[in-house]
Amino acid sequence: MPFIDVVEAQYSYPGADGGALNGLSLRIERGEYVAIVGANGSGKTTLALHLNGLLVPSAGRVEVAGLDTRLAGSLAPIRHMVALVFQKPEDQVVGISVEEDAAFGPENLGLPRPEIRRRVDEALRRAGLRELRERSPHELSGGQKQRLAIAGALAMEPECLVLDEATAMLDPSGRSSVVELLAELNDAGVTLVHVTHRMELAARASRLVVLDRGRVAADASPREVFEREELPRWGLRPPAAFEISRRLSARLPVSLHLDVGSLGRELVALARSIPAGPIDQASAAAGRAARWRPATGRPIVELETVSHAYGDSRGLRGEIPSLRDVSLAVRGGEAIALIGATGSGKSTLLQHLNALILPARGGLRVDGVPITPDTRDLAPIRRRIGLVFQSPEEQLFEQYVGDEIAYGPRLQGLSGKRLTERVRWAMECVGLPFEPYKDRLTFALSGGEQRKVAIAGVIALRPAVLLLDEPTSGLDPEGAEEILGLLERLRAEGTALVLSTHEMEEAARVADRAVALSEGRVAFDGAARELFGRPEALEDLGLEAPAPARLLAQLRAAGLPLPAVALGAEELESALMDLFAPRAGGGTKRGKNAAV
Amino acid sequence: MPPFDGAGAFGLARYRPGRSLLHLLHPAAKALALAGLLAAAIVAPPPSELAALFLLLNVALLSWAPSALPSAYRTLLALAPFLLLLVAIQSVGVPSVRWGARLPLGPVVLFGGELASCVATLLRYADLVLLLGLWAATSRLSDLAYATESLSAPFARLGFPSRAFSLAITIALYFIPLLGEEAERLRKSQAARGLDFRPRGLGLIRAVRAFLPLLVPLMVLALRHAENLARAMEARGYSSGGTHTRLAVHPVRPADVLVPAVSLLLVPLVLLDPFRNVDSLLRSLAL
Repeated sequence: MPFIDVVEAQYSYPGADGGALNGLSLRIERGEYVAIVGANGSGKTTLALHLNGLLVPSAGRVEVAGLDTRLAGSLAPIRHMVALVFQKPEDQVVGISVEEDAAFGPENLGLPRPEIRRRVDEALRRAGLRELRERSPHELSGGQKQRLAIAGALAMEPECLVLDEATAMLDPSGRSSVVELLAELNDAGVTLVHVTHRMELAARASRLVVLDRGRVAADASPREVFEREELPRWGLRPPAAFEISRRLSARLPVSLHLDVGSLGRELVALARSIPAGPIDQASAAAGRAARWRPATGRPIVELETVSHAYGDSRGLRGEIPSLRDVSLAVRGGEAIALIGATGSGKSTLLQHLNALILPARGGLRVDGVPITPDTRDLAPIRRRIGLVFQSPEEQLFEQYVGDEIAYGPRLQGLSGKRLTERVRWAMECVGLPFEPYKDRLTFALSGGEQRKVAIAGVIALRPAVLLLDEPTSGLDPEGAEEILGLLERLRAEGTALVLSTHEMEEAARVADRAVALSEGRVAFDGAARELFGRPEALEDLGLEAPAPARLLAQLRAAGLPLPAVALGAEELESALMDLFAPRAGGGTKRGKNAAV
Repeated sequence: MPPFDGAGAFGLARYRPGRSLLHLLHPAAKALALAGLLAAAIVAPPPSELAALFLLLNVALLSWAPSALPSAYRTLLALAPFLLLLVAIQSVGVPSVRWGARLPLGPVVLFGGELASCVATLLRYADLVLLLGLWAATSRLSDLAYATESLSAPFARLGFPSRAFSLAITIALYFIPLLGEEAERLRKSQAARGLDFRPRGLGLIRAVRAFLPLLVPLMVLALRHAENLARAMEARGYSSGGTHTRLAVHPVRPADVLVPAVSLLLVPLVLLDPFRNVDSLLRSLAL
């Protein structure tokens, strides 16, 4: 008997057209590590909620250890066996202290006090929160809060843990602490079901299930799934290491890899196995791509030795988003990636750049004019330097898409034909055709479309500089891709961009200048390619370099003569070809490829 | 002052860890004692009992939560303009206290009785602030939830959902600052789109309309949060009215009976006005 058995399950949300689950069947055995992936709206969360009876199928059935979730009497034992962890840690906290929060589940199970104590101690130890047991959950960082949510689930001592995008809101170091915990749990025999958008995380599972429109579209090992050509149709992309190894395998005798580490090891072994030929170190070290030059011209917005600290009551929460002596100038047409761990001050810096926060110490100048608390009207500045907050779709309020986007321009004084034209332009900028979308209900759009509407609402002010706080967080790979394409278009049209992000691949793609913040200070300001070429420096900041950069660093550390800076997969590939081709004396597949 | 940086320091409400008699008192006993003392401070006839209570509270703070004493006085100082106004409204020009020596103060003439009444009222407010400070400094927020649950437990037999009630308090304590942060984020994001929240003589409908960009998303967020939280609680085996146990258990000790008993007895005691001789002595001095 399978541990979890989903048989032909159907479910539709009230008022929604089309079902969320359309006859979905899935069997999960004890001790498995299953990743569930799929585009937004493919039914992942709905499935997760079915696994412990929070939702029950309208047709078909879900059984956990032989117990049917539709029977009220089986819910308590099922929830004891299958624990769920959700995306937002804030939505899961019930206790006033870390310890009490972890105790909530066992208390509901009616366990005797010594047993609750034992379980809470054990769960907090596993989640690495023992030292913080007396703290208020308010005072924890994002990663710690999510580990607390997992501890709360572990204290139920479940046989199976279901995580629904439980790492989506975390920075790389928070994410890796959760991922390590998951691996430990699975080794200890806990069945894991991990719903995620991140393919590197999905690749860690032993089994990958792809959902598409409420059904299982593929169910195989991660490697087999990533090789399927329908992947883009399901709204998915393979992890970066897989893509790099696939490109290389066309020209070099390397196999496909799911993680950068193992690909690097194979490349090093390959380099050693080929008899050393004459290596043109000079040409290899010179690098291929053009050097980055700082933008020149008059800055549009400038911060000069700005410091900012929030009040005491905020400082208590453990994250102190403050700035210390930050100087930064943004010039026309530049694209800057603002990176740093959670709490390093990225959002605070963005809000200084468009005068939402005026510097307590230091100066802010827009187009050379100093902005002070006496500046009468800040609205024109905020229009010139537009800011898109994190999850901006949560801020929508108008009933119709057109009105929502027209809101800012209307406040600016536009009306009639000029207003319509402005809204049309902004909508088409973000890829929402004007006629079919202007009268659609804002709240009935998909998450990705809502985010586009929110971005259009800011672009409609025609800012010279666009600031974006985590523009792709929470979107599926396809949705993220659309937003990145939009940013590239805006940049090509001359809008300067400053985007804060945890996703280094994204930063590397959109920006050529990187500003790294660490505890409120500027730790790096220069060419993005230079920063991403130093994975150890990024790790010190609690971040992770893009996959090609990590691979490059690994190869260089093994003594392979490769240039110190490379960004994209293409550049890395050509650098590797430079390295291997002369060594193998044309013996690699290069000859074949060159003919193509 | 940056326009959106509204967070102030609420030192008075901060818990100061310790193992004093008050810290270890059963939360329900502490809540009862607080209620008794608050009632005593409110009903005490002026002013010697209030002064005695004031002295007592200072000694208590000094011995059990000395680090809370400065913030209690800072709070008093911050409230001073407001308190003085209240005191003036309540005490000056009230016919019943226009007795005693006449004290000319420029164009105004104050009576000794008015002055005594001012002192008493001021002492009363100071007592209330210090009391709350003392309680907050020695009680965790979880104590509040625990006290609510223990004190309402006897009513559970009558069908009162005592656990749900205390849970609601706990969640609200977490939710209110969260909602506040959300509102601030929304304010900022709408300001980034050019909205100006400063009042400019708008009509009522336009004023309400100006706040729609805040209210609609805030409501949506609050509802979504409530829904997610309910789901997360259900996933962790919570059901309203279901049986449950508790990790935190406070055994009842003699002090837990004694302390609230004494403080509740204070109410009838101060009503008897045991220090009335002191008061009349003061009164005769004032005359």
